[in-house]
Amino acid sequence: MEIQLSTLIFQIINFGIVVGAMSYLMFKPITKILEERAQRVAEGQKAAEQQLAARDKLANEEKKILQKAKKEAAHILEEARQSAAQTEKELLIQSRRKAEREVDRLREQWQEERAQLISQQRQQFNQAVLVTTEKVVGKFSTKQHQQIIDVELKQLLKTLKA
Amino acid sequence: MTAVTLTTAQPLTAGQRSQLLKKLQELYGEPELNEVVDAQVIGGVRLQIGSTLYDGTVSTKLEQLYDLAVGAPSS
Repeated sequence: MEIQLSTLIFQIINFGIVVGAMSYLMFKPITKILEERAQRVAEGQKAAEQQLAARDKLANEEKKILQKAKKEAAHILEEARQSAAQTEKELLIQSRRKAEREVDRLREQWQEERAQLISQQRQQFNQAVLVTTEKVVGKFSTKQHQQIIDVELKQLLKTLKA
Repeated sequence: MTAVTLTTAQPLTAGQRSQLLKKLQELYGEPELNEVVDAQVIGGVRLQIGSTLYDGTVSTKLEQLYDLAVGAPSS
């Protein structure tokens, strides 16, 4: 095959024109499109990073708020516990005092009733002795009364002091 | 003037009264004697001088007898 110089030069020029035309008509727009795409991707990535950072910041703030709330809740709980313990103590003291007062009252009542009972029994005893004595020896005569008074008066005058 | 109350089941005789008054005058000067006749004492005398009580009544002796019998404390 024989290579003709004119054809070669023509092909080279032709090729050059085609490459130039393609470069202008295709490569530039395509490159532009690719660059725009790369820029959009970069912007998207930046936006995603910003959102991640904002999310992390929110998560941290939420964590801090939760910790603060837990701390306050624990403090409130402790105060409530102490208050309940104090109230329980006071109620216990009040109940004990009330019970002691009731015991004292019942004791006094019992002592009064006992004293009354003893007094009644004494009176009944006295009456029984008197009735029996009167049946046996009769009632005291005036002379006997005076004799009893004499004996007791003598005894009494001996013991009298200023 | 010292207040004196005498309680008996029967009134005192004149002799008993003067005996008592003589002793009281020796001790208290001019006592104010108040005589009470109360059959409840049954017999004997009870003398109250101010807040001091001298009890020689039959009723009290019977009560003491009761306390001895039942072992109860006397009032």
